[in-house]
Amino acid sequence: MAGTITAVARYQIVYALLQESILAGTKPWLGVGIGPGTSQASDVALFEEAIPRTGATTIGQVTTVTSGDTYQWTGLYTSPATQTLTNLGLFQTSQSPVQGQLVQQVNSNTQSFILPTNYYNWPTTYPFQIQVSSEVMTVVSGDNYQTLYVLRGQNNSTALTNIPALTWITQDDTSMFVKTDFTGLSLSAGDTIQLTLNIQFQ
Amino acid sequence: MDGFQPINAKISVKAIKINADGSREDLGDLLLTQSTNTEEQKWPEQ
Repeated sequence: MAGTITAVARYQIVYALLQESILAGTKPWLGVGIGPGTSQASDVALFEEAIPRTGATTIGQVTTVTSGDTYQWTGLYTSPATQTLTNLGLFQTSQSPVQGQLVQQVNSNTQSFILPTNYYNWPTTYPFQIQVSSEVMTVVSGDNYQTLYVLRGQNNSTALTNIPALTWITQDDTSMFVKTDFTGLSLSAGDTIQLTLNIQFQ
Repeated sequence: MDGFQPINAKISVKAIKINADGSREDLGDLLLTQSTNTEEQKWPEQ
């Protein structure tokens, strides 16, 4: 016995992704990250996103194996600083997320609070989700001083037993639809790279 | 058999570095070819 989506579905998935942008009158933005980590489907943000996001030059539907099975994004990224890119993602929104770091480590997979370095930068409208290393947490409230109260292991991620101090915390903007990581691409300030992302559905 | 069929996607990120003089360096697929120093690394032709 076997079940599968068909080549038609691959085409339609790509078409739907394109339509989301076309209907919004925008093209997806590229975000780049400079933190460590391995991409997972549960991720809601990059690992330490570096601002700013970059707009697409073109987006389109191309064929790799079956008709229209591949979503293609092309654009130019100019590095504003000397940095090593380690991950990137595509977003439907251009606004960079709120980010901070853990003041102190998270000591267990049931700890229900975190202390960010920049409490007053975080939204006070709850709930919202954050990416902390490979884990997604839902922030449900704050103490108006230094503590964010969280639900652990959200979005089908795994609650981590230990998260070191200074790990980056990145807010979810709900629009990241692809993410990938790589060992590292070192860029100097002012370097420009032309990127072509192909997402082939199989 | 529960009928569960994940949707797989194969992702590639091809990069070309554009230098200040307009010349171009093909950095290949970032997911296949890695570097920590783009000044010295020689990238394979795609």
